[in-house]
Parts: sequence; structure tokens; C-alpha cells
Amino acid sequence: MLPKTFKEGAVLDPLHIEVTEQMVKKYGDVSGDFNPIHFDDSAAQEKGFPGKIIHGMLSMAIASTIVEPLTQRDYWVKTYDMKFRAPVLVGETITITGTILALETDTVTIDLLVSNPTYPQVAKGRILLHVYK
Amino acid sequence: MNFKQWEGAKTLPVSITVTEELVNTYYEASGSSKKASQQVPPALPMIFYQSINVPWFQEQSFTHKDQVFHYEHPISIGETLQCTVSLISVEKRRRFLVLNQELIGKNKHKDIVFSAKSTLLKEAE
Repeated sequence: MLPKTFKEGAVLDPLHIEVTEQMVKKYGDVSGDFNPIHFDDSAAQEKGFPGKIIHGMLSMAIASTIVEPLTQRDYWVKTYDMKFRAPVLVGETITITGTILALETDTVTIDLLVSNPTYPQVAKGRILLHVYK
Repeated sequence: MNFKQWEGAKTLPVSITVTEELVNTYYEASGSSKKASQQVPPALPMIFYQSINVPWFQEQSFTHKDQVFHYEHPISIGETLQCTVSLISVEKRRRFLVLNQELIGKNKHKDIVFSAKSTLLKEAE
């Protein structure tokens, strides 16, 4: 059962998550991605960033947690896409916003927006959820 | 690296089992308190790359632009998947090379469970 507040155009409760150095280290460990731009300020600056940046796929991992209240119950993720537009610095707080784009009998489509204090659009994505049958 | 020479290439299949420990570590990294009792997070398959020898990735770094996951059904804890990576296309756009590649996971019946399409940028040499 979906919450009664669920309707097309409704906005999910936003998430505000500080992406800590420890999270970046853990993501490096679990993914095997040890690109120095994620761990070393000077390496990141050499590539034109103001400081070390988080893995793009870490922001995608974090963003998907906004639908956990649904995937813990009746739904599973059929498709999930994201376009990465700007970097997130390690230690910044990102905000994930979800808007219900479409609500069908068996599916829910949610538009996602990831922002940080510097960029209103760090990443944009969409999740299509299917109901378990 | 001449990426164009790898266009159309596909890696050898690698068998990967999604363990509860792996999923829990992934959840910790993403700041979630959820434990691996239910679903595997949708973006998790990207960590399979570390287990696959992708020749055009050797000592290279890329800028990740787009990512799309598509599931035929959710991955279950304990499920073993045969995974391959294919380099679909390599195009030059202005001063960048644009690589489109796809990670695919198949179950023991050789049915596709998921695909993960990535668009990567690399400064042209």
C-alpha cells in the first residue's frame, strides 16, 4: 500500500546527507576505485577541482536511498538512471529530492535531483519502481 | 591508449556472488543503516568492475557522465552472476573521447538479470 500522500507531482521527504571522508574511504574499499582525485586534494586540484571529490557512483548510491521506504515494502527497482553534472566535494552535504512523475497500477516513476551548496543540480536521475507480484 | 581498437570488445565472463557482507559494506559506504535482509541496492553492480579485467581500463581514469541500470528482476543475496563488460562505442567529441560501455550480469540459466550502461569521458590525447 502506498501512503495516501502519494500522487503525481508530490514531493518525497528530502534527504540531507553529509558525505564524509569515511564514507568515501569505505566506497573506495568496497568498489576498488582508488583514483587519487577522491582521496588527495592536490591530485584533485591537478585535475581542476577545488579539492578531493566523491565518487559519482557514491552519489548515485546515496540518492537511491530516498526510495528505501518503498523498496522495503512492495516495490523493486526496475530502472535507475543518472546524469552527473557537477562534482561534490568530500565533506559537503548533498540534498536529494524526489518528485513523483507518474503513478500507475504497478509502477511508480520518481524524478531525482541531487544538489549541494555550490550547485543546484549536481546530478539528475529517474527511478522506475515495480510492484512485487 | 588507443581506445578505438577496443570498440566492440567484450571481456571474459567472471562469476560474482553477491554476499550479505558485500551488501552491508556497500550500505555503510552510502550512509544507509539498512541491512542486507531485503534488496540489493540498485547501483551496487558497479562495484563488480574491480573483479573484471577490462583491458581498456588499465591505469586509466575517466569522468563519469551518465549511468543507467536496468533490471529484469532484483538481485538476491547469495545470487551468483556471470558478468561481462562490453565497449559499445568510442566517439570523439571536441577534445574528449566518449566511451559507451555496458556491464551485464546473467544468472545460471544465462538469462540477463541486469545491465549497467555507462557513458565515460576521457580527454583525447
